[in-house]
Amino acid sequence: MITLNHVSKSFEGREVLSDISAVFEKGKTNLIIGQSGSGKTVLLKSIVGLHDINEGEIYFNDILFNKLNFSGKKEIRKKMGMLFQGSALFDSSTVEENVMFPLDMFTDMTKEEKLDRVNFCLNRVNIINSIIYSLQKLVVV
Amino acid sequence: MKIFHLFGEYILLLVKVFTKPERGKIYYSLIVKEIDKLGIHSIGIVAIISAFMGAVITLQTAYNTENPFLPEYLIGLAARDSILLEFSSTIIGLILAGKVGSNIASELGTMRVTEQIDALEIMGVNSASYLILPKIVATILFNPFLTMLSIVIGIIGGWSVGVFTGVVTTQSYIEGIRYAFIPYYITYAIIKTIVFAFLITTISAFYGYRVQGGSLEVGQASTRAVVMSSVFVLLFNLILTQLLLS
Repeated sequence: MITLNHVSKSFEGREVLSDISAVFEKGKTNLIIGQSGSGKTVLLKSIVGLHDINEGEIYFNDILFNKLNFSGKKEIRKKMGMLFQGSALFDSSTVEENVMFPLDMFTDMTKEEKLDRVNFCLNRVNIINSIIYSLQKLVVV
Repeated sequence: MKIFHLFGEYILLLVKVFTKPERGKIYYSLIVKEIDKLGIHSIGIVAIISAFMGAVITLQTAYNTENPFLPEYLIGLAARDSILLEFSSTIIGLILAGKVGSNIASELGTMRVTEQIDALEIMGVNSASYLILPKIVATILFNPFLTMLSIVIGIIGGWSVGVFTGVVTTQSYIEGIRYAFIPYYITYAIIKTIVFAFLITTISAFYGYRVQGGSLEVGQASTRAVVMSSVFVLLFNLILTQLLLS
């Protein structure tokens, strides 16, 4: 469960988030809807710790996430997933290398095991040879 | 006040860069890739500039020492000391500040604006260490080789042009190269190169890593990285010369 208590965030004096409180319960799908520039992305990036908030608290279960140090945040971030607006694929790498990256970083799998896993994941989203914009999202998923 | 703020941010980034890497094996392959990209791909420009630099130093020294009372070997001696003490390390440092500095700043800046750095952070990867540390290690390991190469090519360039134009004979030039040689000068050039490599890489990475905005800001960050790297190379050249040669 993620809990936001009175979260505020501003950039160079310009307030983007003001006194936001919300609870995101486990197993539920939540929607954040707002006009362009209203702060949806800033809120999401604040929740996952990409932006440091100015005021308030963000809890992951009972852990006060926004007060954790870098290594503390790192451990929780390993359990997070986020789909970026622009896909955020490593554009100088191949699809295979993109999908394999977390396996390289966090597992001790052999090359063959990693390739099997990558092929399994790519087959699940039906990516064969080419990548167009809409399919980029599938690579990230 | 802004300068202190920037310096603080730079130090904080370095602290993040030099935290223990997640997986050493991955870093090893990244360092090899960076050596290829930042070092081996710079050999061409270093060789061309060094050859012309050595040639010009030899010609200028020859025209300024046209005096029957001055021995001809002075041309080789002046060329050697100029190349060894100053030109190879500092000029190559400045050239690399332009080539490598803009490369690093634009690469990291583009990764920042396309959210690739954010994606690394979300995965729990220390993005600063993963992206910047291999570049620092690669340039510190490889740039001394570039400086040595520059010294050799500079001296050969000076000799070939000197002999071709007839301002010095091969024998006099070699005599000058060997005359009163102090091996410490090579150590001095390598120390300077290592310091410059660290400055160029970290300053450029700093400006690239903190880009906010879009392609316009990436270009601005790239320019700023080159300018600041060059300024700090010159500043530390002065400091190191005073510290190491006084």
